[in-house]
Amino acid sequence: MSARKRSRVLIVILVLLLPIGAFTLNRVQAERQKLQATAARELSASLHAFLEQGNLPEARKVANEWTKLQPENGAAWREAGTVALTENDLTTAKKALEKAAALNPKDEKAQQALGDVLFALKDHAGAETAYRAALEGNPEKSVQAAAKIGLARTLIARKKDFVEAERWAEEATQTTVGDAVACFVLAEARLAQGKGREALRAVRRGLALEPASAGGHTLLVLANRLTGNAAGAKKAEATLTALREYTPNSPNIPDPIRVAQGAALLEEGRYQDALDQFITVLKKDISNAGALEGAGLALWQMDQKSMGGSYLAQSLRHDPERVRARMALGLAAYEQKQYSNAATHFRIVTQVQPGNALAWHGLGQAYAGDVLHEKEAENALRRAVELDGNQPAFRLDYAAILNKNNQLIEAETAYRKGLSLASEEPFVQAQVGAFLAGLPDPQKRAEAQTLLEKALQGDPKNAYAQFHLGRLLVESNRPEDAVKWLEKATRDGQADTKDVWSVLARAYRQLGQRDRAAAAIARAEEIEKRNDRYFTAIGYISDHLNEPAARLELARASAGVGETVRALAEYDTYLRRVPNDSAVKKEKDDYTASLKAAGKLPDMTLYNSINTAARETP
Amino acid sequence: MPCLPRLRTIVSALGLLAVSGCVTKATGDGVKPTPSAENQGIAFRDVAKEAGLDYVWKLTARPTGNILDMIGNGCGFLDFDNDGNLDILLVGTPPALYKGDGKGRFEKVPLPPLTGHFQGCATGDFNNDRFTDLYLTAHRGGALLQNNGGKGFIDVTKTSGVASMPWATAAAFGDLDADGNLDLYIGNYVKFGPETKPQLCQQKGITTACAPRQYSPEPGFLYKGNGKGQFRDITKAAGFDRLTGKALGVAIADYNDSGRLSVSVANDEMAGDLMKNLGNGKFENIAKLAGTATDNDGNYHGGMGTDWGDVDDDGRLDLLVATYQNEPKNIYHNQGDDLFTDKGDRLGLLGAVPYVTFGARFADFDNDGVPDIVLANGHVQDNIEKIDSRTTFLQPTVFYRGTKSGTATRFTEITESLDKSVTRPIMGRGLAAGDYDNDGRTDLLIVDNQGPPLLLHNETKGAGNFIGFSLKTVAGKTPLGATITVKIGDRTLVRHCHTDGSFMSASDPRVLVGLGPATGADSVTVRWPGGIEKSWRNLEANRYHTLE
Repeated sequence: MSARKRSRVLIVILVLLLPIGAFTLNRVQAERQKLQATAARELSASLHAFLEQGNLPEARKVANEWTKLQPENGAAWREAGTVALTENDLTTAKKALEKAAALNPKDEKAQQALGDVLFALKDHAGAETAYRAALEGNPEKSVQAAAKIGLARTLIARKKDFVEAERWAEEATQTTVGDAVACFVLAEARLAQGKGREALRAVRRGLALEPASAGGHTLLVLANRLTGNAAGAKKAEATLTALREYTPNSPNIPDPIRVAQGAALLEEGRYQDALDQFITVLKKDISNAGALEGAGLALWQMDQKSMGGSYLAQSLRHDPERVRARMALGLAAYEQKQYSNAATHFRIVTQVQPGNALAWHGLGQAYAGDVLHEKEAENALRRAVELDGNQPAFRLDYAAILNKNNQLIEAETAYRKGLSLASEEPFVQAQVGAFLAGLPDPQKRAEAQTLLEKALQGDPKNAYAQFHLGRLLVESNRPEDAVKWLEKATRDGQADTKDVWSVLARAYRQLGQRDRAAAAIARAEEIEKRNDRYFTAIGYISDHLNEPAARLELARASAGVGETVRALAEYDTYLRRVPNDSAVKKEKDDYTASLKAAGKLPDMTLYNSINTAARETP
Repeated sequence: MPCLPRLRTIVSALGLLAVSGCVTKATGDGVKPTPSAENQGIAFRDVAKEAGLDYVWKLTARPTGNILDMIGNGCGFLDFDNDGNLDILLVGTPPALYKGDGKGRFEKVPLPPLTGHFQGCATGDFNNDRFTDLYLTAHRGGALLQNNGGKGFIDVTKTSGVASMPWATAAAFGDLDADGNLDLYIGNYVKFGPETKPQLCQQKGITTACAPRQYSPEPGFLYKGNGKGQFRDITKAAGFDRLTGKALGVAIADYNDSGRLSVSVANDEMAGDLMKNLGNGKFENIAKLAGTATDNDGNYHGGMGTDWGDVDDDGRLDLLVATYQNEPKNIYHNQGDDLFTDKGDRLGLLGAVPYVTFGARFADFDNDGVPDIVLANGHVQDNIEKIDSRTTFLQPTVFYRGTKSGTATRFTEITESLDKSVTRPIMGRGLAAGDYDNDGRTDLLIVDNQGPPLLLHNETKGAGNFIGFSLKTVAGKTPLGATITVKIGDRTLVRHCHTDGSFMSASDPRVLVGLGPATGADSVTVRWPGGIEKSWRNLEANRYHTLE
């Protein structure tokens, strides 16, 4: 039975039930209310289903039935008004939404929609009142953003208070991620105040999201004019004209349309087709930031990260606030352990899109990888969790930094929340298990063991879980079992780390196997020695940036700990300063060859792109 | 721990990935302690001023101190005139000696003229005249001060055979070869002086003190004493040339019940050393295999103050090691057979992880028979707040109360419950323990390197009974390193006679044992260095006994 049929049957039943006199009046009323509520739920569900399908006529019919069934139900009138607004039947929408607002003045959704209707009817004073009413409560984010945008537009239209308009628009850009309209309204508010450069930035942000927006290009013309950039204004005017003249049958596709089409193709995963679109634009205009960004992202997806990185860096040279380019380069920097560069890229994104949870998470992780930035990491990761608490990875990384910052009770809460979100994920089980394994409470350690064992059932080669289970068993004086897991960690999981060898040594010692313990300790020390050399070199270089010997030492120390990108970069820095040192040149060549043979040669072109883009960040 | 890549969630069609790397943790995990609920009466009051201690340490380096400026100083409780009352030594430039009257008042008495950049102290009767002598550690120097029959001290450094040290920090006296004469181990720190580069380092673009990592380690020296005030360098012959260097804490004890004294050395961001006495004048560094060289995961720590004590009544001495910020404060549990496991976190010291801990000491503040712990803290970078917002330069002294439940021991932080003058943030460094008013409760002396000392009078209400011991050899000397086994009903408590340990400081050589409600000890057995034992029966509580 369809949603609509179901609701009609309910209405019929309700009508049939009404005259039965065996019930007392109260019971009849109670029953009627109950059935009405059931019917309303059904109607609401079917209405939303129709709206999702884009079936406006059916949606309208259901909405009308609902208002007839429950004429005093504000939600019913709100939905009827919303449907009418979507159909652009402003008169009906106005009536319905005014009724909804009258029935429930605190219905923020109704107030916001009423504001939209009144604004469209040019009743700006009424719209302002409605938007302000919508913002009085604590509406959900989307309603809040829409009301803020509406209020800003209304204030601009009334030429009432551009400063306030800018504030609301700015807030709207922060409330939402990727809302081009908010950016354009912000640009309008700034233009109205004569803030050309700021307006230009806002327009660019909007056009990065909606490259083919004629409104956006109109604003671009104005902003360029205001800043005295005649060439920019002229170019924007030409683009605007091309956009206005463009029809789907036009032989010449304007660049913004191509960029938008390319972006759509990217979304569909048609990377080569997308790249073709972007390249076509770039052949005409090599400085088109949108096309550069799109081409970079397409190449990135096609595993041509080297070239993709170059395009992304280029796009940022023309528009430093390209969010997607920043995100991609930030991620690449993080993966190459260039934490400072990663932080730079992610930070810019959080400034452009304060509501971007992923960027806050990236920023937090970049800080966490950098020494002495743990507090900044905690703040950024907290923000990511606030913005999107349903990502287990966000929760776990936040928990990890809390743990590192010695906020253990808070860390445990965050770990448990992460576990509740993805309780069957082995990596989540391993992370939470590893944390609980370190707690003094025996019950929690038992829970840790269960989690770590579960993690290993799901992912038998998870070296992290192997190590922590082994460690837990050593602590529990079960060295035989511990050795089994720890040896597996060094073998299967290839966890050749100081920690694993050290704990393995403890297990061997507990078993009285002193020779094995000594060998494991020797291995741990060998690793530690390399780590120590690396950190000493890092500490030294901060005061001796121009000392070639310090650069060379850092190159060698980095190579020793597997920091391949840093090693090669430092070798290059050294050789730029001492170009005739043939011995070091050979050393670098040998090192490069060994990395290549092992399949571990890093992408230095990408490194340079990341580094350049970060350095050029304003 | 292995840092493994994990969740890589595709979050958009553009393929940007959730970063979600792995944050490695520098310290142990656990829960925060519940402060104060478990205190049950332990109380201290800072009486330094009223006691007459007018000494003040000043941090004068500007704009910021280097590693030498920031390392700090030690202090000591000693009875230099054998009047039965503890006196106080405050080490600085210059050091100062205060004579105690046993009633809480101290009066400054002269020391011989001394020049140098003094650091800490060690106490012991190195010339067998029954009076406590001193060794003052120093940067590029050092002073051996012989007690002049309780009337003061004479600088005998030049004739003693003890060389000028490059940068001596912690030192300890002990009769390591059981010949009846005290030997002297002197730990050195790093190669550093005004000519050393760098003097200061950059962190986050801020000029600050460099980490010890920037400097090479200085090795320590072992001197054999002849009982007449002369010493001979036996560092190499005894195997002490294989120590790590960068020493900040030294503690000597018969940890393996062998009748021989071994030496534990805490080193700063280097492997710790445990020099096992092999009995033939030779020592073997067993720290790595024994498990005291690093924390449980093989991490070197900034080992600073250290102390031996039996935390769980198993008759074996465990090792406390104070460490740097975000490093576990270690209690290496002695499992026998030269095997130790760090149980600091498990036993309850998690709350101390954020601190930079220098002075560290076991002591039974409430005389319940279970050791408590005190840790003196303070950062080594005077502008650390600008660099790392998680921490502060000045830090509180933290206290842990030990409790037993069955065989399990647990330390609970009680800092919050103590008087604010006691736990006020300081540049905490040296720490010594002693009963300066002979009331059977352990008092504390703590260095605040940018202010006056803290003399913490133990004012615990409802403290248990105590039994105190002043150990003497036949020759009337204090047998440093002797172990005392006290039996009370079915409990057996093992303590040892020592002045060394903590951070560059010297403590009361008397052994104070908390008895709880017991009114005496059923038996007391003393094992002198060398292995000779003697027992006493039915010793009464609440007084000091001299055992010879």
